[in-house]
Amino acid sequence: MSETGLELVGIVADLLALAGALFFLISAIGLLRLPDFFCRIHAPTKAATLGVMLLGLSALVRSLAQGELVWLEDLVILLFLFLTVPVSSQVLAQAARRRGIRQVSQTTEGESRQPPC
Amino acid sequence: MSGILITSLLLIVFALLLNGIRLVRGPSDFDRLLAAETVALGLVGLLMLRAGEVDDRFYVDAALGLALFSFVGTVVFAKYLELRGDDE
Repeated sequence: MSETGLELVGIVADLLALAGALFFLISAIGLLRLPDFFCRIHAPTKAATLGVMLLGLSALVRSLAQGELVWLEDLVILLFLFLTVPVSSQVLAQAARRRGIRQVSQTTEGESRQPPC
Repeated sequence: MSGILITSLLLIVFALLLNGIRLVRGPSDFDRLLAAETVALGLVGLLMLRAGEVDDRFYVDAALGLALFSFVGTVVFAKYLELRGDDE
């Protein structure tokens, strides 16, 4: 690949990494500040998954530019995370619901008028 | 390493510190498990970032193994927390 092409790939990969880190930071803030467990599980399930996917995409772009078959392993990690993180979060939420852990008052079942999160 | 890459690395480390606060403080064990899973996710992200930077394939292998163990561990531990008796 030409010199300017490699430079462009580096810039794109850097920006993807920055976006992924920002999303991961947002998910960490959500995990810290939301009121109860069923609100808190939103943050890592969605925002942190997107953040890690963007970080992996940055690594994938870099290894695609090398022109060998090493990008397949990055793709495997991306697909694996994409399939498993929602599944494990769902299992966790189901377990917490069956155990009936403490909720803030607005998230009681049935008559929720204003969602707290 | 470029400046953007160092910035994103510091952002992830700061996010991991925030997750660590939740891991220590979390009122229930489910909160702690959720925070531990997020920490593992962040470590996978850090390893991917590093793998793209230094062109060393071992980082990618480590990230894949960590993702696998994090998934299996979370599912098994959630089932354990669900099924164990009321001893707390």
